[in-house]
Amino acid sequence: MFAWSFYNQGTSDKAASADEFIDSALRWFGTSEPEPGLPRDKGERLAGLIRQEPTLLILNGIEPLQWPPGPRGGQLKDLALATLVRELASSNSGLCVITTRVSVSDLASRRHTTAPELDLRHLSPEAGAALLSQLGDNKHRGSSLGMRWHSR
Amino acid sequence: MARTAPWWSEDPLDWTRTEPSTFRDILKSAYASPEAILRLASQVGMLPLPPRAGNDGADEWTWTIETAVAGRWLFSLFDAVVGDPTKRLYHERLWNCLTDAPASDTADAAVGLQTINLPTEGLRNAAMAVQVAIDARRRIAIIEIAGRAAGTGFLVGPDLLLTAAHVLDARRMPPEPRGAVVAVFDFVPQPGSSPAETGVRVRIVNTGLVGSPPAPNEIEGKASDLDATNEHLDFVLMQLERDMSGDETNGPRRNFYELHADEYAFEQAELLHVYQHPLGMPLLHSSAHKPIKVNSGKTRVRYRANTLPGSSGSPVVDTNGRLVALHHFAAIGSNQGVTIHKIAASIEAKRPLPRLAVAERRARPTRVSVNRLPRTGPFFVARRQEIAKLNECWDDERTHVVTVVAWGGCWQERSRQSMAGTNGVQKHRPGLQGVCMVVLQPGYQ
Repeated sequence: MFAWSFYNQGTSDKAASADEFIDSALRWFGTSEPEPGLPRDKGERLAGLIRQEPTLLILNGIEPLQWPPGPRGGQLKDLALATLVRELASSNSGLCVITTRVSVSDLASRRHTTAPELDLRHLSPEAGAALLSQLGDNKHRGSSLGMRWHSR
Repeated sequence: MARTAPWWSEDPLDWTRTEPSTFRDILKSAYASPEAILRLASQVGMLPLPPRAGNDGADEWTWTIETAVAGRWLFSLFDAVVGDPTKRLYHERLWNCLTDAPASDTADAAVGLQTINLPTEGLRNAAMAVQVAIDARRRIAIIEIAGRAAGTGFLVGPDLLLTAAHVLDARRMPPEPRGAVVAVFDFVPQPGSSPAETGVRVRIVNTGLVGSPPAPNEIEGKASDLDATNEHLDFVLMQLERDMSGDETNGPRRNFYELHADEYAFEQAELLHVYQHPLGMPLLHSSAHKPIKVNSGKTRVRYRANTLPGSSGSPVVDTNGRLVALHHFAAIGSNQGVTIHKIAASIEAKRPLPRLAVAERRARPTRVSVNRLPRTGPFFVARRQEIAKLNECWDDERTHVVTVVAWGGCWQERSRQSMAGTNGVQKHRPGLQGVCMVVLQPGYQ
Protein backbone atom coordinates (compact mmCIF):
# COMPACT_ATOMS: atom_id res chain seq x y z
CA MET A 1 0.00 0.00 0.00
CA PHE A 2 1.39 3.36 -1.01
CA ALA A 3 -0.34 6.64 -0.19
CA TRP A 4 0.51 10.19 -1.19
CA SER A 5 -1.18 13.51 -0.64
CA PHE A 6 -0.98 16.41 -3.05
CA TYR A 7 -3.37 18.43 -1.01
CA ASN A 8 -0.87 21.00 0.28
CA GLN A 9 0.22 21.84 -3.25
CA GLY A 10 -1.12 24.71 -5.24
CA THR A 11 -1.66 26.81 -2.13
CA SER A 12 1.53 28.77 -2.61
CA ASP A 13 3.12 30.40 -5.62
CA LYS A 14 5.03 27.19 -6.24
CA ALA A 15 3.67 25.35 -9.27
CA ALA A 16 2.06 22.02 -8.47
CA SER A 17 4.08 19.06 -9.65
CA ALA A 18 4.00 15.30 -9.39
CA ASP A 19 7.78 14.96 -9.79
CA GLU A 20 8.44 14.25 -6.13
CA PHE A 21 5.67 11.71 -5.96
CA ILE A 22 6.80 9.95 -9.14
CA ASP A 23 10.43 9.75 -8.01
CA SER A 24 9.52 8.60 -4.50
CA ALA A 25 7.10 5.99 -5.81
CA LEU A 26 9.61 4.70 -8.35
CA ARG A 27 12.11 4.22 -5.52
CA TRP A 28 9.56 2.63 -3.20
CA PHE A 29 8.33 0.20 -5.81
CA GLY A 30 11.77 -0.99 -6.71
CA THR A 31 13.86 1.40 -8.78
CA SER A 32 17.00 2.19 -6.82
CA GLU A 33 17.66 5.41 -8.70
CA PRO A 34 14.94 6.74 -11.01
CA GLU A 35 16.48 7.15 -14.45
CA PRO A 36 15.97 10.42 -16.25
CA GLY A 37 13.41 10.25 -18.99
CA LEU A 38 10.29 11.71 -20.41
CA PRO A 39 7.37 12.16 -18.02
CA ARG A 40 5.31 9.71 -20.04
CA ASP A 41 8.03 7.06 -19.78
CA LYS A 42 8.21 7.55 -16.03
CA GLY A 43 4.47 7.16 -15.70
CA GLU A 44 4.53 3.96 -17.75
CA ARG A 45 7.48 2.60 -15.80
CA LEU A 46 5.80 3.30 -12.47
CA ALA A 47 2.54 1.69 -13.62
CA GLY A 48 4.50 -1.39 -14.65
CA LEU A 49 6.09 -1.63 -11.21
CA ILE A 50 2.77 -1.11 -9.42
CA ARG A 51 1.13 -3.84 -11.49
CA GLN A 52 3.68 -6.44 -10.45
CA GLU A 53 1.78 -7.22 -7.26
CA PRO A 54 -1.65 -6.28 -5.91
CA THR A 55 -1.23 -2.75 -4.63
CA LEU A 56 -3.52 -0.24 -2.99
CA LEU A 57 -2.37 3.15 -4.29
CA ILE A 58 -3.98 6.20 -2.70
CA LEU A 59 -3.61 9.59 -4.36
CA ASN A 60 -5.15 12.13 -2.03
CA GLY A 61 -6.27 15.58 -3.10
CA ILE A 62 -4.97 15.70 -6.66
CA GLU A 63 -6.96 18.80 -7.59
CA PRO A 64 -3.88 21.08 -7.57
CA LEU A 65 -2.64 18.97 -10.46
CA GLN A 66 -5.86 19.31 -12.45
CA TRP A 67 -7.03 22.06 -14.75
CA PRO A 68 -9.75 24.18 -13.18
CA PRO A 69 -13.27 24.23 -14.68
CA GLY A 70 -13.14 25.28 -18.33
CA PRO A 71 -12.41 23.68 -21.68
CA ARG A 72 -9.82 21.38 -20.15
CA GLY A 73 -11.44 21.22 -16.75
CA GLY A 74 -10.47 18.18 -14.70
CA GLN A 75 -7.59 17.08 -16.94
CA LEU A 76 -4.38 16.19 -15.17
CA LYS A 77 -1.70 18.76 -15.91
CA ASP A 78 1.24 16.50 -15.10
CA LEU A 79 2.00 14.13 -17.96
CA ALA A 80 3.67 11.49 -15.80
CA LEU A 81 0.74 11.35 -13.39
CA ALA A 82 -1.78 11.35 -16.24
CA THR A 83 0.06 8.45 -17.88
CA LEU A 84 0.20 6.55 -14.60
CA VAL A 85 -3.51 6.95 -13.94
CA ARG A 86 -4.53 5.99 -17.47
CA GLU A 87 -2.18 3.01 -17.49
CA LEU A 88 -3.58 1.75 -14.20
CA ALA A 89 -7.12 2.22 -15.48
CA SER A 90 -6.18 -0.06 -18.36
CA SER A 91 -4.62 -2.78 -16.29
CA ASN A 92 -4.14 -3.08 -12.55
CA SER A 93 -3.98 -6.09 -10.29
CA GLY A 94 -4.73 -3.86 -7.30
CA LEU A 95 -6.70 -0.67 -6.84
CA CYS A 96 -5.89 3.02 -7.14
CA VAL A 97 -8.07 5.31 -5.02
CA ILE A 98 -8.06 8.99 -6.00
CA THR A 99 -9.66 11.74 -3.95
CA THR A 100 -10.26 15.09 -5.58
CA ARG A 101 -12.64 18.00 -5.75
CA VAL A 102 -12.89 17.82 -9.53
CA SER A 103 -13.78 14.81 -11.64
CA VAL A 104 -10.70 13.47 -13.46
CA SER A 105 -11.58 13.87 -17.13
CA ASP A 106 -8.64 11.69 -18.18
CA LEU A 107 -10.66 8.75 -16.84
CA ALA A 108 -14.01 9.77 -18.31
CA SER A 109 -13.98 7.18 -21.08
CA ARG A 110 -13.31 4.37 -18.58
CA ARG A 111 -15.89 5.42 -16.03
CA HIS A 112 -18.29 2.81 -17.39
CA THR A 113 -15.83 -0.04 -17.03
CA THR A 114 -12.66 0.02 -14.93
CA ALA A 115 -12.61 3.48 -13.36
CA PRO A 116 -15.89 4.35 -11.66
CA GLU A 117 -16.47 7.58 -9.83
CA LEU A 118 -17.95 7.97 -6.39
CA ASP A 119 -19.61 11.29 -5.62
CA LEU A 120 -19.26 12.05 -1.96
CA ARG A 121 -22.35 13.59 -0.51
CA HIS A 122 -22.58 15.84 2.49
CA LEU A 123 -22.45 14.36 5.95
CA SER A 124 -25.86 14.05 7.51
CA PRO A 125 -26.63 16.40 10.42
CA GLU A 126 -26.65 13.37 12.69
CA ALA A 127 -23.20 12.33 11.52
CA GLY A 128 -21.96 15.89 11.99
CA ALA A 129 -23.36 15.90 15.48
CA ALA A 130 -21.75 12.54 16.21
CA LEU A 131 -18.42 13.88 15.01
CA LEU A 132 -18.65 16.90 17.27
CA SER A 133 -19.71 14.69 20.12
CA GLN A 134 -16.76 12.39 19.69
CA LEU A 135 -14.51 15.38 19.67
CA GLY A 136 -15.98 16.33 23.03
CA ASP A 137 -17.73 19.45 21.83
CA ASN A 138 -21.16 18.92 23.29
CA LYS A 139 -21.73 22.66 23.37
CA HIS A 140 -22.09 22.87 19.60
CA ARG A 141 -23.57 19.45 19.01
CA GLY A 142 -27.09 20.69 19.56
CA SER A 143 -26.69 23.75 17.45
CA SER A 144 -25.47 21.63 14.56
CA LEU A 145 -28.62 19.55 14.58
CA GLY A 146 -30.75 22.55 15.35
CA MET A 147 -29.60 24.33 12.23
CA ARG A 148 -30.82 21.49 10.09
CA TRP A 149 -34.18 21.26 11.79
CA HIS A 150 -34.83 24.94 11.35
CA SER A 151 -34.04 24.73 7.71
CA ARG A 152 -36.63 22.02 7.03
CA MET B 1 -16.47 27.31 -37.12
CA ALA B 2 -13.25 29.15 -36.42
CA ARG B 3 -10.11 27.60 -37.71
CA THR B 4 -7.83 26.43 -34.91
CA ALA B 5 -4.31 27.57 -35.61
CA PRO B 6 -1.35 25.37 -34.80
CA TRP B 7 0.18 26.35 -31.49
CA TRP B 8 3.47 27.41 -33.00
CA SER B 9 1.81 30.00 -35.24
CA GLU B 10 0.62 32.00 -32.24
CA ASP B 11 2.71 34.88 -31.00
CA PRO B 12 2.75 35.17 -28.06
CA LEU B 13 2.42 31.49 -27.39
CA ASP B 14 -0.59 30.20 -25.50
CA TRP B 15 1.03 28.15 -22.76
CA THR B 16 -2.35 26.90 -21.56
CA ARG B 17 -2.41 24.64 -24.62
CA THR B 18 -1.01 21.16 -24.16
CA GLU B 19 1.31 21.06 -27.16
CA PRO B 20 3.77 23.87 -26.31
CA SER B 21 4.19 22.74 -22.72
CA THR B 22 4.66 19.14 -23.85
CA PHE B 23 7.15 20.31 -26.47
CA ARG B 24 9.00 22.22 -23.76
CA ASP B 25 8.95 19.26 -21.35
CA ILE B 26 10.43 16.97 -23.96
CA LEU B 27 13.18 19.45 -24.80
CA LYS B 28 13.80 19.94 -21.10
CA SER B 29 14.31 16.19 -20.72
CA ALA B 30 16.56 16.04 -23.76
CA TYR B 31 18.65 19.11 -22.98
CA ALA B 32 18.44 19.86 -19.28
CA SER B 33 21.43 22.12 -18.73
CA PRO B 34 21.41 25.80 -19.67
CA GLU B 35 24.68 25.25 -21.51
CA ALA B 36 23.11 22.62 -23.76
CA ILE B 37 20.21 24.94 -24.53
CA LEU B 38 22.56 27.79 -25.35
CA ARG B 39 24.57 25.54 -27.63
CA LEU B 40 21.44 24.50 -29.50
CA ALA B 41 20.07 28.03 -29.70
CA SER B 42 23.28 29.44 -31.09
CA GLN B 43 23.52 26.53 -33.55
CA VAL B 44 20.35 27.78 -35.25
CA GLY B 45 21.36 31.43 -35.10
CA MET B 46 19.28 32.55 -32.16
CA LEU B 47 20.59 35.05 -29.69
CA PRO B 48 22.29 33.37 -26.73
CA LEU B 49 20.28 33.14 -23.57
CA PRO B 50 21.97 34.42 -20.43
CA PRO B 51 22.08 31.60 -17.87
CA ARG B 52 19.94 31.98 -14.78
CA ALA B 53 21.19 30.79 -11.45
CA GLY B 54 19.35 27.98 -9.69
CA ASN B 55 17.14 27.13 -12.59
CA ASP B 56 16.51 23.59 -13.78
CA GLY B 57 16.10 24.47 -17.42
CA ALA B 58 12.35 25.03 -17.69
CA ASP B 59 12.52 28.82 -17.83
CA GLU B 60 15.33 28.80 -20.33
CA TRP B 61 13.31 26.53 -22.57
CA THR B 62 10.23 28.73 -22.23
CA TRP B 63 12.27 31.71 -23.32
CA THR B 64 13.98 29.77 -26.09
CA ILE B 65 10.73 28.46 -27.56
CA GLU B 66 9.06 31.85 -27.38
CA THR B 67 12.05 33.44 -29.06
CA ALA B 68 12.10 30.71 -31.70
CA VAL B 69 8.42 31.18 -32.48
CA ALA B 70 8.71 34.96 -32.62
CA GLY B 71 11.74 34.76 -34.91
CA ARG B 72 10.48 31.80 -36.99
CA TRP B 73 13.32 29.62 -35.77
CA LEU B 74 11.17 26.87 -34.32
CA PHE B 75 11.49 24.41 -37.19
CA SER B 76 15.21 25.14 -37.44
CA LEU B 77 15.42 24.34 -33.76
CA PHE B 78 13.50 21.13 -34.38
CA ASP B 79 15.86 20.27 -37.26
CA ALA B 80 18.84 20.78 -34.98
CA VAL B 81 17.39 18.38 -32.40
CA VAL B 82 16.54 15.82 -35.08
CA GLY B 83 20.12 16.15 -36.31
CA ASP B 84 21.38 15.07 -32.90
CA PRO B 85 21.52 11.24 -33.01
CA THR B 86 22.05 11.02 -29.24
CA LYS B 87 18.51 12.35 -28.76
CA ARG B 88 16.81 9.93 -31.12
CA LEU B 89 14.48 8.84 -28.31
CA TYR B 90 12.83 12.25 -28.31
CA HIS B 91 12.46 12.86 -32.03
CA GLU B 92 9.12 11.16 -32.61
CA ARG B 93 7.43 12.80 -29.65
CA LEU B 94 8.66 16.23 -30.64
CA TRP B 95 7.34 15.62 -34.13
CA ASN B 96 3.97 14.63 -32.68
CA CYS B 97 3.80 17.94 -30.84
CA LEU B 98 4.23 19.78 -34.10
CA THR B 99 1.73 17.69 -36.04
CA ASP B 100 -1.08 16.94 -33.62
CA ALA B 101 -2.96 20.13 -34.37
CA PRO B 102 -6.74 19.83 -34.73
CA ALA B 103 -8.06 19.26 -38.23
CA SER B 104 -8.99 22.42 -40.03
CA ASP B 105 -12.53 23.29 -40.91
CA THR B 106 -13.13 22.73 -44.62
CA ALA B 107 -15.66 25.49 -45.03
CA ASP B 108 -13.41 28.08 -43.44
CA ALA B 109 -10.45 26.91 -45.44
CA ALA B 110 -12.26 27.56 -48.70
CA VAL B 111 -12.99 31.22 -48.14
CA GLY B 112 -11.02 34.32 -47.26
CA LEU B 113 -7.29 34.75 -47.24
CA GLN B 114 -5.59 31.49 -47.86
CA THR B 115 -2.29 30.65 -46.35
CA ILE B 116 -0.63 27.37 -45.58
CA ASN B 117 -0.57 27.49 -41.82
CA LEU B 118 -0.69 23.74 -41.27
CA PRO B 119 1.92 22.23 -43.59
CA THR B 120 1.63 18.83 -41.92
CA GLU B 121 -2.08 18.43 -42.62
CA GLY B 122 -2.94 14.96 -43.89
CA LEU B 123 0.32 13.48 -42.73
CA ARG B 124 0.03 10.70 -40.19
CA ASN B 125 2.62 9.23 -37.94
CA ALA B 126 3.35 5.80 -39.41
CA ALA B 127 4.17 4.17 -36.09
CA MET B 128 0.90 5.31 -34.60
CA ALA B 129 -1.05 4.09 -37.62
CA VAL B 130 0.54 0.68 -37.14
CA GLN B 131 -0.43 0.75 -33.47
CA VAL B 132 -4.07 1.39 -34.42
CA ALA B 133 -4.00 -1.81 -36.50
CA ILE B 134 -2.23 -3.78 -33.76
CA ASP B 135 -4.85 -2.69 -31.24
CA ALA B 136 -7.58 -3.88 -33.59
CA ARG B 137 -5.89 -7.22 -34.15
CA ARG B 138 -5.56 -7.84 -30.42
CA ARG B 139 -8.99 -6.65 -29.26
CA ILE B 140 -11.35 -7.99 -31.91
CA ALA B 141 -12.90 -11.46 -31.89
CA ILE B 142 -15.20 -13.57 -34.00
CA ILE B 143 -18.44 -14.32 -32.20
CA GLU B 144 -19.39 -17.95 -32.58
CA ILE B 145 -22.78 -19.36 -31.66
CA ALA B 146 -22.97 -23.15 -31.41
CA GLY B 147 -19.71 -23.41 -33.32
CA ARG B 148 -20.76 -21.19 -36.25
CA ALA B 149 -19.45 -17.70 -36.92
CA ALA B 150 -22.19 -15.14 -36.31
CA GLY B 151 -20.48 -11.77 -36.22
CA THR B 152 -17.72 -9.65 -34.76
CA GLY B 153 -17.13 -8.25 -31.27
CA PHE B 154 -14.44 -6.29 -29.46
CA LEU B 155 -13.08 -5.66 -25.97
CA VAL B 156 -14.35 -2.57 -24.13
CA GLY B 157 -13.34 -3.71 -20.64
CA PRO B 158 -11.12 -6.35 -19.05
CA ASP B 159 -13.80 -9.00 -19.47
CA LEU B 160 -16.37 -7.05 -21.48
CA LEU B 161 -17.09 -7.65 -25.15
CA LEU B 162 -19.34 -5.39 -27.19
CA THR B 163 -21.21 -6.48 -30.28
CA ALA B 164 -24.43 -5.72 -32.16
CA ALA B 165 -27.47 -7.14 -30.39
CA HIS B 166 -28.80 -8.76 -33.55
CA VAL B 167 -25.65 -10.87 -33.84
CA LEU B 168 -27.04 -12.90 -30.92
CA ASP B 169 -30.76 -12.28 -31.25
CA ALA B 170 -32.50 -9.52 -33.15
CA ARG B 171 -35.85 -9.70 -31.37
CA ARG B 172 -35.26 -10.31 -27.68
CA MET B 173 -33.43 -8.29 -25.07
CA PRO B 174 -31.64 -9.75 -23.23
CA PRO B 175 -30.79 -11.91 -26.21
CA GLU B 176 -31.47 -15.63 -26.32
CA PRO B 177 -28.78 -17.06 -28.60
CA ARG B 178 -29.34 -20.55 -29.99
CA GLY B 179 -26.36 -22.20 -28.39
CA ALA B 180 -23.17 -21.52 -26.46
CA VAL B 181 -21.46 -18.25 -27.36
CA VAL B 182 -17.68 -18.13 -27.72
CA ALA B 183 -15.34 -15.27 -28.63
CA VAL B 184 -12.35 -16.25 -30.76
CA PHE B 185 -9.47 -13.76 -30.52
CA ASP B 186 -6.44 -13.72 -32.83
CA PHE B 187 -8.34 -15.36 -35.67
CA VAL B 188 -5.62 -14.84 -38.23
CA PRO B 189 -4.17 -17.53 -40.52
CA GLN B 190 -1.58 -19.68 -38.77
CA PRO B 191 0.45 -22.22 -40.74
CA GLY B 192 -0.25 -25.75 -39.54
CA SER B 193 -3.55 -24.83 -37.85
CA SER B 194 -7.01 -25.43 -39.22
CA PRO B 195 -9.56 -22.63 -38.74
CA ALA B 196 -11.19 -24.65 -35.95
CA GLU B 197 -7.89 -24.70 -34.07
CA THR B 198 -6.91 -21.11 -34.77
CA GLY B 199 -7.14 -18.32 -32.23
CA VAL B 200 -7.77 -17.97 -28.53
CA ARG B 201 -11.24 -19.21 -27.60
CA VAL B 202 -12.95 -17.61 -24.61
CA ARG B 203 -16.39 -18.63 -23.38
CA ILE B 204 -18.98 -15.92 -22.81
CA VAL B 205 -20.67 -16.36 -19.44
CA ASN B 206 -23.24 -13.58 -19.71
CA THR B 207 -24.72 -12.59 -23.06
CA GLY B 208 -26.81 -9.69 -21.83
CA LEU B 209 -25.20 -7.47 -19.20
CA VAL B 210 -26.61 -4.37 -20.87
CA GLY B 211 -28.17 -4.01 -24.29
CA SER B 212 -30.57 -2.34 -26.63
CA PRO B 213 -32.44 -3.88 -29.58
CA PRO B 214 -32.25 -2.72 -33.18
CA ALA B 215 -34.97 -0.50 -34.64
CA PRO B 216 -38.05 -2.28 -36.05
CA ASN B 217 -37.11 -1.56 -39.68
CA GLU B 218 -33.64 -2.88 -39.08
CA ILE B 219 -35.07 -6.09 -37.60
CA GLU B 220 -37.19 -6.58 -40.71
CA GLY B 221 -34.14 -5.99 -42.86
CA LYS B 222 -36.14 -3.69 -45.12
CA ALA B 223 -34.07 -0.61 -44.58
CA SER B 224 -31.81 0.83 -41.99
CA ASP B 225 -33.61 3.18 -39.66
CA LEU B 226 -31.56 6.32 -39.76
CA ASP B 227 -33.87 8.00 -37.30
CA ALA B 228 -33.59 5.28 -34.68
CA THR B 229 -34.11 6.52 -31.14
CA ASN B 230 -32.00 6.05 -28.04
CA GLU B 231 -34.07 2.95 -27.24
CA HIS B 232 -32.86 1.18 -30.40
CA LEU B 233 -29.09 1.20 -30.32
CA ASP B 234 -28.55 -2.41 -31.43
CA PHE B 235 -25.81 -3.34 -29.00
CA VAL B 236 -25.20 -5.87 -26.28
CA LEU B 237 -22.45 -5.93 -23.69
CA MET B 238 -21.29 -9.45 -22.84
CA GLN B 239 -19.11 -10.85 -20.11
CA LEU B 240 -16.19 -13.14 -20.89
CA GLU B 241 -15.22 -15.93 -18.55
CA ARG B 242 -11.90 -14.25 -17.81
CA ASP B 243 -10.02 -10.98 -17.97
CA MET B 244 -8.51 -10.65 -21.45
CA SER B 245 -7.11 -7.11 -21.21
CA GLY B 246 -3.78 -8.22 -19.78
CA ASP B 247 -3.55 -11.36 -21.93
CA GLU B 248 -0.28 -11.57 -23.86
CA THR B 249 -0.94 -14.79 -25.78
CA ASN B 250 0.29 -14.34 -29.37
CA GLY B 251 1.29 -10.70 -28.87
CA PRO B 252 1.32 -7.60 -26.68
CA ARG B 253 -1.19 -6.90 -23.92
CA ARG B 254 -4.64 -6.57 -25.46
CA ASN B 255 -5.98 -3.71 -23.35
CA PHE B 256 -9.42 -2.59 -24.56
CA TYR B 257 -11.21 0.19 -26.43
CA GLU B 258 -12.44 3.12 -24.40
CA LEU B 259 -16.11 4.08 -24.42
CA HIS B 260 -16.04 7.83 -24.89
CA ALA B 261 -19.24 9.43 -23.65
CA ASP B 262 -18.54 12.73 -25.36
CA GLU B 263 -19.88 13.19 -28.86
CA TYR B 264 -17.49 12.61 -31.74
CA ALA B 265 -17.17 15.20 -34.53
CA PHE B 266 -17.91 12.85 -37.43
CA GLU B 267 -18.24 15.73 -39.85
CA GLN B 268 -14.55 16.52 -39.37
CA ALA B 269 -13.34 12.94 -39.73
CA GLU B 270 -11.29 12.39 -42.87
CA LEU B 271 -11.24 8.62 -42.69
CA LEU B 272 -12.63 5.83 -40.54
CA HIS B 273 -11.59 2.20 -40.31
CA VAL B 274 -13.86 -0.82 -39.98
CA TYR B 275 -11.99 -3.87 -38.63
CA GLN B 276 -14.15 -6.91 -39.13
CA HIS B 277 -14.60 -10.68 -39.46
CA PRO B 278 -17.05 -10.91 -42.40
CA LEU B 279 -18.31 -14.39 -43.31
CA GLY B 280 -16.22 -15.87 -40.52
CA MET B 281 -13.04 -14.85 -42.31
CA PRO B 282 -9.80 -13.76 -40.64
CA LEU B 283 -9.62 -10.13 -39.53
CA LEU B 284 -10.11 -7.77 -42.47
CA HIS B 285 -9.95 -4.03 -42.77
CA SER B 286 -12.04 -1.61 -44.79
CA SER B 287 -11.68 2.15 -45.02
CA ALA B 288 -14.66 4.48 -44.78
CA HIS B 289 -14.19 7.76 -46.60
CA LYS B 290 -16.18 10.97 -46.69
CA PRO B 291 -19.02 11.79 -46.72
CA ILE B 292 -19.66 10.62 -43.18
CA LYS B 293 -23.11 11.63 -42.01
CA VAL B 294 -24.81 11.49 -38.63
CA ASN B 295 -28.58 11.52 -38.12
CA SER B 296 -30.32 14.27 -36.19
CA GLY B 297 -30.71 12.10 -33.10
CA LYS B 298 -26.96 11.31 -33.17
CA THR B 299 -27.74 7.61 -32.85
CA ARG B 300 -26.55 6.50 -36.28
CA VAL B 301 -23.66 7.32 -38.58
CA ARG B 302 -23.38 6.46 -42.26
CA TYR B 303 -20.21 5.90 -44.24
CA ARG B 304 -19.07 4.20 -47.41
CA ALA B 305 -17.06 1.08 -46.73
CA ASN B 306 -16.96 -2.55 -47.81
CA THR B 307 -18.69 -4.86 -45.35
CA LEU B 308 -20.47 -8.22 -45.54
CA PRO B 309 -22.64 -10.41 -43.33
CA GLY B 310 -20.63 -11.13 -40.20
CA SER B 311 -19.24 -7.60 -40.12
CA SER B 312 -21.96 -6.61 -37.66
CA GLY B 313 -20.50 -5.82 -34.27
CA SER B 314 -17.23 -4.52 -35.70
CA PRO B 315 -15.53 -1.48 -34.22
CA VAL B 316 -15.35 1.66 -36.33
CA VAL B 317 -12.28 3.63 -35.30
CA ASP B 318 -10.78 6.88 -36.50
CA THR B 319 -7.21 7.41 -37.66
CA ASN B 320 -6.09 7.93 -34.07
CA GLY B 321 -7.58 4.62 -32.98
CA ARG B 322 -10.49 6.16 -31.11
CA LEU B 323 -13.59 3.96 -31.08
CA VAL B 324 -16.38 6.04 -32.63
CA ALA B 325 -19.10 3.60 -33.75
CA LEU B 326 -20.33 0.02 -33.74
CA HIS B 327 -20.92 -1.23 -37.26
CA HIS B 328 -24.28 -2.97 -37.61
CA PHE B 329 -26.01 -2.48 -40.96
CA ALA B 330 -25.49 -2.30 -44.69
CA ALA B 331 -27.78 0.34 -46.13
CA ILE B 332 -28.28 1.00 -49.82
CA GLY B 333 -25.19 2.74 -51.11
CA SER B 334 -23.64 3.10 -47.70
CA ASN B 335 -23.05 1.38 -44.39
CA GLN B 336 -24.28 2.30 -41.00
CA GLY B 337 -23.00 2.23 -37.43
CA VAL B 338 -24.34 3.10 -34.00
CA THR B 339 -22.54 6.01 -32.35
CA ILE B 340 -20.41 5.03 -29.37
CA HIS B 341 -21.28 8.01 -27.20
CA LYS B 342 -24.92 6.90 -27.24
CA ILE B 343 -23.95 3.36 -26.31
CA ALA B 344 -21.70 4.68 -23.51
CA ALA B 345 -24.59 6.74 -22.13
CA SER B 346 -26.88 3.72 -22.25
CA ILE B 347 -24.37 1.56 -20.38
CA GLU B 348 -23.74 4.31 -17.85
CA ALA B 349 -27.48 4.55 -17.11
CA LYS B 350 -27.54 0.88 -16.20
CA ARG B 351 -24.55 0.74 -13.88
CA PRO B 352 -23.36 -0.93 -11.76
CA LEU B 353 -22.42 -3.86 -13.93
CA PRO B 354 -22.18 -7.30 -12.35
CA ARG B 355 -18.78 -7.99 -10.91
CA LEU B 356 -16.24 -10.25 -12.54
CA ALA B 357 -17.36 -13.84 -12.41
CA VAL B 358 -13.97 -14.96 -11.18
CA ALA B 359 -13.43 -12.18 -8.68
CA GLU B 360 -11.46 -13.11 -5.61
CA ARG B 361 -10.46 -10.96 -2.72
CA ARG B 362 -7.08 -9.58 -3.43
CA ALA B 363 -4.20 -10.36 -1.13
CA ARG B 364 -3.78 -8.01 1.80
CA PRO B 365 -0.87 -5.61 1.23
CA THR B 366 2.22 -6.43 3.24
CA ARG B 367 4.28 -3.26 2.67
CA VAL B 368 2.70 0.02 3.70
CA SER B 369 3.72 3.63 3.14
CA VAL B 370 1.21 6.20 4.39
CA ASN B 371 3.42 8.82 5.96
CA ARG B 372 2.70 11.32 3.20
CA LEU B 373 -0.97 11.42 4.11
CA PRO B 374 -2.06 14.27 6.35
CA ARG B 375 -2.81 13.49 9.97
CA THR B 376 -6.41 12.69 10.72
CA GLY B 377 -8.41 12.15 13.84
CA PRO B 378 -8.38 8.80 15.63
CA PHE B 379 -11.95 7.95 14.69
CA PHE B 380 -14.15 7.87 11.65
CA VAL B 381 -17.72 9.04 11.49
CA ALA B 382 -20.43 7.85 9.11
CA ARG B 383 -19.48 7.18 5.47
CA ARG B 384 -20.49 3.55 5.84
CA GLN B 385 -21.94 3.38 2.33
CA GLU B 386 -18.85 4.92 0.82
CA ILE B 387 -16.55 2.56 2.70
CA ALA B 388 -18.66 -0.39 1.59
CA LYS B 389 -18.39 0.86 -1.97
CA LEU B 390 -14.61 1.14 -1.71
CA ASN B 391 -14.46 -2.40 -0.33
CA GLU B 392 -16.53 -3.55 -3.29
CA CYS B 393 -14.08 -1.86 -5.63
CA TRP B 394 -11.20 -3.61 -3.89
CA ASP B 395 -12.94 -6.95 -4.27
CA ASP B 396 -13.91 -6.41 -7.89
CA GLU B 397 -11.00 -7.20 -10.15
CA ARG B 398 -12.60 -5.24 -12.96
CA THR B 399 -12.28 -2.01 -11.01
CA HIS B 400 -8.78 -0.61 -11.42
CA VAL B 401 -9.18 3.00 -10.34
CA VAL B 402 -11.89 4.62 -8.25
CA THR B 403 -12.20 8.38 -7.96
CA VAL B 404 -13.86 9.89 -4.92
CA VAL B 405 -15.11 13.34 -5.86
CA ALA B 406 -16.21 15.81 -3.23
CA TRP B 407 -16.56 19.51 -3.52
CA GLY B 408 -14.18 20.77 -0.89
CA GLY B 409 -13.95 24.27 0.43
CA CYS B 410 -17.65 24.49 1.13
CA TRP B 411 -16.76 23.41 4.64
CA GLN B 412 -15.41 26.84 5.33
CA GLU B 413 -17.90 28.80 3.29
CA ARG B 414 -20.95 27.06 4.54
CA SER B 415 -19.69 26.86 8.04
CA ARG B 416 -19.52 30.62 8.07
CA GLN B 417 -22.98 30.99 6.68
CA SER B 418 -25.01 28.29 8.28
CA MET B 419 -23.00 26.10 10.60
CA ALA B 420 -22.44 28.46 13.44
CA GLY B 421 -21.84 25.66 15.87
CA THR B 422 -19.31 23.91 13.75
CA ASN B 423 -17.60 27.15 12.95
CA GLY B 424 -17.15 27.67 16.65
CA VAL B 425 -15.39 24.36 16.96
CA GLN B 426 -13.11 25.32 14.12
CA LYS B 427 -12.06 28.44 15.93
CA HIS B 428 -11.17 26.52 19.02
CA ARG B 429 -9.57 23.62 17.22
CA PRO B 430 -8.18 24.67 13.88
CA GLY B 431 -6.68 21.24 13.39
CA LEU B 432 -10.11 19.71 13.51
CA GLN B 433 -10.71 20.56 9.89
CA GLY B 434 -8.40 17.76 8.90
CA VAL B 435 -10.59 15.17 10.53
CA CYS B 436 -13.27 15.78 7.97
CA MET B 437 -11.45 17.29 5.03
CA VAL B 438 -8.50 15.04 4.66
CA VAL B 439 -9.94 11.57 4.67
CA LEU B 440 -12.56 12.04 2.01
CA GLN B 441 -12.79 15.81 1.95
CA PRO B 442 -16.53 16.11 2.29
CA GLY B 443 -18.47 19.29 2.03
CA TYR B 444 -20.67 20.15 4.95
CA GLN B 445 -24.19 21.37 4.90
